[in-house]
Amino acid sequence: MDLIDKYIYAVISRIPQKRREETEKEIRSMIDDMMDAYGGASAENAQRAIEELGDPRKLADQYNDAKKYVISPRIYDSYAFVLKITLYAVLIGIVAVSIIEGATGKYANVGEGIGSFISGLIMGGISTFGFVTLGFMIVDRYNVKMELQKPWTVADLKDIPVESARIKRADCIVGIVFSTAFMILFATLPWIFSAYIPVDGSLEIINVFNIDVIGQRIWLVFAIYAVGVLREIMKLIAGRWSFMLGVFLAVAGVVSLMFCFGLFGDMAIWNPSFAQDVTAAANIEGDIFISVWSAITNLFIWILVIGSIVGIVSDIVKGFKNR
Amino acid sequence: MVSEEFVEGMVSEIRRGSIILCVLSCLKNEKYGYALVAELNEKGLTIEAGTLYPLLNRLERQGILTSKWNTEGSKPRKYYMISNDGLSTLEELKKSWRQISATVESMLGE
Repeated sequence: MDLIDKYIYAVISRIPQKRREETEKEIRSMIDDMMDAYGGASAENAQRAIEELGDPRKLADQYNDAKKYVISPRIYDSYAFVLKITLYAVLIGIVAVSIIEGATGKYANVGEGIGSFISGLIMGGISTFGFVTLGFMIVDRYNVKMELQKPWTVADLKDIPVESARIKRADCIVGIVFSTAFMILFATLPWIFSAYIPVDGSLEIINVFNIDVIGQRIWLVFAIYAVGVLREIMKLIAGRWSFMLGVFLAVAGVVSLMFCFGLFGDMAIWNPSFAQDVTAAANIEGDIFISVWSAITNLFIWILVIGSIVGIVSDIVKGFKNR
Repeated sequence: MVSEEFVEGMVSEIRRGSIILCVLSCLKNEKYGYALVAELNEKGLTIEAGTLYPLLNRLERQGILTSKWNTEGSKPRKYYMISNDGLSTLEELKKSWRQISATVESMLGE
């Protein structure tokens, strides 16, 4: 009977593949027996049985075991909070980028500007949502694994964290907002990192970076951003320093540094003629500037390395002190 | 006044735990699902087929029930019976049930 087939399909399409065949037979035999109880197989009795069984989605829920979550309820509040903050940060970033692009005459007309703004909002919104959700999913799975390892005892209760061991929510938010801002700038307005030199009444814009190379390596920017957000999410959920958190953050710091090497490790990311162009535009004797700039760009990756090592050591120390 | 929905929710919480006990007790002899629905209803435990069948399915996957399909009649029916593991589970459940109901009864009587 058509109705019964449709109903059974609606149920079994919502339960795991390997149990479908058996469940289909069970439900069919259940409906048969119900129809018998109503006086035999007929279209009316089939409808009556199906109405009594009710919404196929609810019946499927009964056949499924535990509810599965992308984000567990216990961290859902943090998730919703971080998502809100990052979405606001992206919104503000895209508004700012659009205003700058509009003011610098990037668009032929208002319509094009609005179109670009809206598509930026959609793309930015979706990718932010994806990043944050993925980050929380990873943290969620990782947490669950940690908890399953050994049974809980009273001894596992941690001391209420002293002031220095607490992680302030505001710090994490500032971290997320700044990372988001930088990611958006690198991804959408890499030319904003420029020297602006007035020449004959107009502004000469000389890019610090090689825009083409940034375009080719944009995935590294996203990767650094993703690791950065993941670190902040981890801190936010932990709420306090602990040895495990310190180790996790240190590992994430190393990973992030590896991506930084990919981005800045060779000199390709820099605009090779930046120093020459600046001295030429500004019409100054530029030997000193050129050699200083060359030193800065050559040492930049090592400045990052030293900065990262300081950060990593500080994470480990904080974690160890509050273990 | 507490909403009716809330009360209904509480009642179904109470029922949920007791249903498995009744089902296991009734399945010392093999039965197919709808016969069990009828038997439970007759004994005063109203349960819908749409609740009982998935429950039987779960209990079977947990190894508490065993089953076999009987295809001799005009249509195939799945017969369930309590397994050996299920029997020992039932004994434990019974003990707990008696303890809980005695405790609750003594408090309700006060």
